[in-house]
Amino acid sequence: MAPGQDQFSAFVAAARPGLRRTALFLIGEQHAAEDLVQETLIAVYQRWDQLRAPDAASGYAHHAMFRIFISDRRHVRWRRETLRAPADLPDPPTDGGYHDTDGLLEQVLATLPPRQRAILVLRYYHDQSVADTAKTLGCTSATVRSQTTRALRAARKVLLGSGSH
Amino acid sequence: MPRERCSLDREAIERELRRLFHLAADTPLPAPDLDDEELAEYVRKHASDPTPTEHATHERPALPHEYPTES
Repeated sequence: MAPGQDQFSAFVAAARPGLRRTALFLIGEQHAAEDLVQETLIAVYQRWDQLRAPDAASGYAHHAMFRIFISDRRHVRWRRETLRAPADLPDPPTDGGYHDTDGLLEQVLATLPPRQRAILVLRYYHDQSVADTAKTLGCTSATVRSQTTRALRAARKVLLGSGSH
Repeated sequence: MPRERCSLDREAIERELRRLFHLAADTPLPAPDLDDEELAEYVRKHASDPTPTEHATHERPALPHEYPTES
């Protein structure tokens, strides 16, 4: 095995759970999310010689996943198909605390275009600032602010429609 | 339903989204098809394959120092 390969295997093992979680939030379907994780790791591996420091590799993987997600038309297509057939959304698993959300998060994310979904994941799951979110997505802070406002407006409709308010 | 969802001003929506994300993040992930070493091997194999495939429809993301900066 070439030098650095053991480190890459260790990186995959360490980074994979976080990448899988983020991909699942972005895409909402396990197998497509696994594809996004694989594409992200391929991008990391192709830069591996420049990313030997664990922090650099983790940071690059995080950025790469979001860039791939918003630039890959397959993810847009998948989400459009989901929007046409909301009844086909997978049931929340019942072996954890996921059901406590009543599927609300999935409903919110499913109503959003990819960039807005990515912004919500970055801002409210990864707790990134507007500036850092803009850097991750390669857009301006003004775009992040305006897209956040639109996404929150859509989220509000879903949350209002969830009843008991 | 948490009290915040009743008012649904912007801050309440933001708090609710954070709560929902972190509840969901506590849920076990489904088992992957490949274990970590199998995935690493898959990645090595496909990363060195120069043949364009369906999985290579996007440009390679830039390194952090290559990101555009806001003017």
